[in-house]
Amino acid sequence: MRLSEKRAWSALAMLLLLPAWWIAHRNTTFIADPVEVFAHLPGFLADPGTWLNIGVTLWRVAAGLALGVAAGVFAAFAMRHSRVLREVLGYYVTAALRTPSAIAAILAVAIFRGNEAGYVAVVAFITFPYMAVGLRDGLESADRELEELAQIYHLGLWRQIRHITAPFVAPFLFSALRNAHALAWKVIVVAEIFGAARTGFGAAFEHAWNYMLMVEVHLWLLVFMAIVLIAEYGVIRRLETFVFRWRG
Amino acid sequence: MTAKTLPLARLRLLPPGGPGAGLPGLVIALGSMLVIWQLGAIAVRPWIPTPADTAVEIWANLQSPEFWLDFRLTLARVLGAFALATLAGAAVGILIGLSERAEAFFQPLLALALAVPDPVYIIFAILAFGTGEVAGFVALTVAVTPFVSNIVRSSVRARDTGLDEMARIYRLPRAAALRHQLLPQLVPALLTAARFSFALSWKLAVVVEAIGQPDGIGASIFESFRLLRMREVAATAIIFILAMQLLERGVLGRVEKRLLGWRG
Amino acid sequence: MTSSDTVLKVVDLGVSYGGSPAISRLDFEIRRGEFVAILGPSGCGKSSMLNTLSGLMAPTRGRVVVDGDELYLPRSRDPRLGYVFQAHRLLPWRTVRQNLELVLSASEVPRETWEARIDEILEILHISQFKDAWPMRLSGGQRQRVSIARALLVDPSYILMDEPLSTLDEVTARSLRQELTGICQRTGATVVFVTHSIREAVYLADRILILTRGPSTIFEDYHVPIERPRDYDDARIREVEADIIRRIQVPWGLDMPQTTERRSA
Repeated sequence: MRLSEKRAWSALAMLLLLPAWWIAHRNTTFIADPVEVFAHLPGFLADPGTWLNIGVTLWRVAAGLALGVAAGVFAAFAMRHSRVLREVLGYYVTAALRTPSAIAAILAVAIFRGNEAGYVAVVAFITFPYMAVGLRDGLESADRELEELAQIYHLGLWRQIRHITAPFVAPFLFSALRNAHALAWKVIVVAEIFGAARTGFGAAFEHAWNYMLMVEVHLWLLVFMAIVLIAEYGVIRRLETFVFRWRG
Repeated sequence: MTAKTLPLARLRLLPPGGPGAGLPGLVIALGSMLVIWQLGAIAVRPWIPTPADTAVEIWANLQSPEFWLDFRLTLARVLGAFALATLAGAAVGILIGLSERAEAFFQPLLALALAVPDPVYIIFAILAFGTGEVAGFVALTVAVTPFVSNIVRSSVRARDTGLDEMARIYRLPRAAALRHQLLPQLVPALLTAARFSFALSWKLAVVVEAIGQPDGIGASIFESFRLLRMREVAATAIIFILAMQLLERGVLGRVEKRLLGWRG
Repeated sequence: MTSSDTVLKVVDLGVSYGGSPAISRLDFEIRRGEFVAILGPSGCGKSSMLNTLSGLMAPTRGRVVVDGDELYLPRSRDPRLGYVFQAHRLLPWRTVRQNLELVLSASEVPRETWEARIDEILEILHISQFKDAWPMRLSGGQRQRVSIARALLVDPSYILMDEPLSTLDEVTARSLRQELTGICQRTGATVVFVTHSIREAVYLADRILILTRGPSTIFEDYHVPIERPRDYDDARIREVEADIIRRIQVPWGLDMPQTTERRSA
């Protein structure tokens, strides 16, 4: 199928959302009028308060994700180091993987009592096991496939990492990163709502919802989705395409 | 392309007792977790309950009929949403995996659906259906389905197209080809998707119940938290997590063994 | 023109992808019971040809007629074919018997006769003992035998074989190659056998269609002048092989440096 035809189908799907939204608006009391929402959008975007809340959430996600990625990478390499470490850390990873984000958020509130570090910690805690597992699988398959190659050609450790391990592990790293990133945005909203945050998207959204400001609820949702999609498709996938440009 | 076909399907949830897992690993892991917990309880008293107190609370919970009532309610909600989300997600995943046109159409919608925070689904479901059972069920299903679709779609795309050609050349009817040729190839991915869907369903159920239901494990945890009874929060959460873990490994593990017997 | 014993007739066949041609023009006929090898250099449009001859892909130009029915017309049915792929393409989650039953279920063969038919064909291929085995438990040669059995089973107009021996080790390939002629004679099968190995083509075929480099045409329709049974190591096979190598030297550009890389289909 041609690229243009694909684009046409994608565009059609997006365009159909607008009438669907409008029909939903006509038939319910809680879906705002799309025309009204878009009319308020410029004013909403011009409001510095909007960007303050978005900035706070963005910062929490970025810091938490960075911490989670670092911890995950560290854990993956440590797990490769010895069997005991592998098993021990395996239990930690499982425990983190199995903790619902709502419970992690509640515990973080209890421990950090509304401190900014709590939100960062929740995001890091929830994303770290995904990085650890994804990367560990990558390292394992790299070990199996490439160790012999490196030995035969007597590559030094650095060149082995740079030219053999890294390119091999990169796809795993990216797919783990994509999962962790998608999850981070999901978790932060839960954490902000459960943690009774005073700023951030979750707080603003809950405020609008409590006062039944439905237009504002829709505006927040739109802006949030836009930012998530820009981060994923504008930043992460671009980076991925750049790293894998040799694949042709 | 590899990078794009790798994602969630590759993410096998880590088996804690995988092949060759030994007792020392378990002992060190649990021991160190308890030590960290105890130290945390001392440092952040009274916000973190001690392991000993929590153990007593767990025991009390296990004997309380109200706990089991909540537990059964939540389990029923989880299983309902899990079943529907897995079926619907698999169907959409197979459809978009097989047809480029369907993929072009549904892919942006899936991306959008994944960008909506879970509490938003819950809130809108409550507005639409009231605070009854339907709202939670719908919110859970809608939140989980796109994940399942993504996993299944990648595996449909990564299928052996040589077998498609074989099926066409031997003129297998569409239904027979789907059933005997395509579906068995997808079994491993469908199982991964089912695991993922189950794990996501029960984790999200906690959020759904906390926000939108008067009863169930999630509501009970949130209620305890509101009253600052952290011991109850910890005890209920631990039992629930362990029970779901056991259920997943027991049931899905057995299904997996039966369905993949031909490997070998 | 089509006589009743013509199984496959290809008329003015051309295939191109977005304007760049893979097959420029093919015309040939194959009669019932014939074993025809198709010999071409790499990049001769082999997969395009296999796809058009098997009903998988409509050609850009020309006609393919199987048993008097033209393929790729709006209302035409898929032809009844056997196909032995390079890789076995058996369904690993079905036993040998179940794999064979699946293709029978899509054919017109009456159900009462399945069992006897399967037994007979497995017997011919010497794999009766693997009837209830999983494909993954078989060796490469045994899997390819099952694949050949599957092709014979549906009573096909003709069987396409796409380098079926190329993935086997030499000893296994030799014994299967040796049996292949006998199997085809016993079952009366018509075979179109694609290969890169000249000696294999000479040993197996009644006729060899020698293709040019891509975009391909038939450069020569070569009748192998050796009576059967043949011996793979016989001096006459070697002589014919040498003769063919002499003929293709210029059209395949064997001893000339390659200036341009042709697209491989």
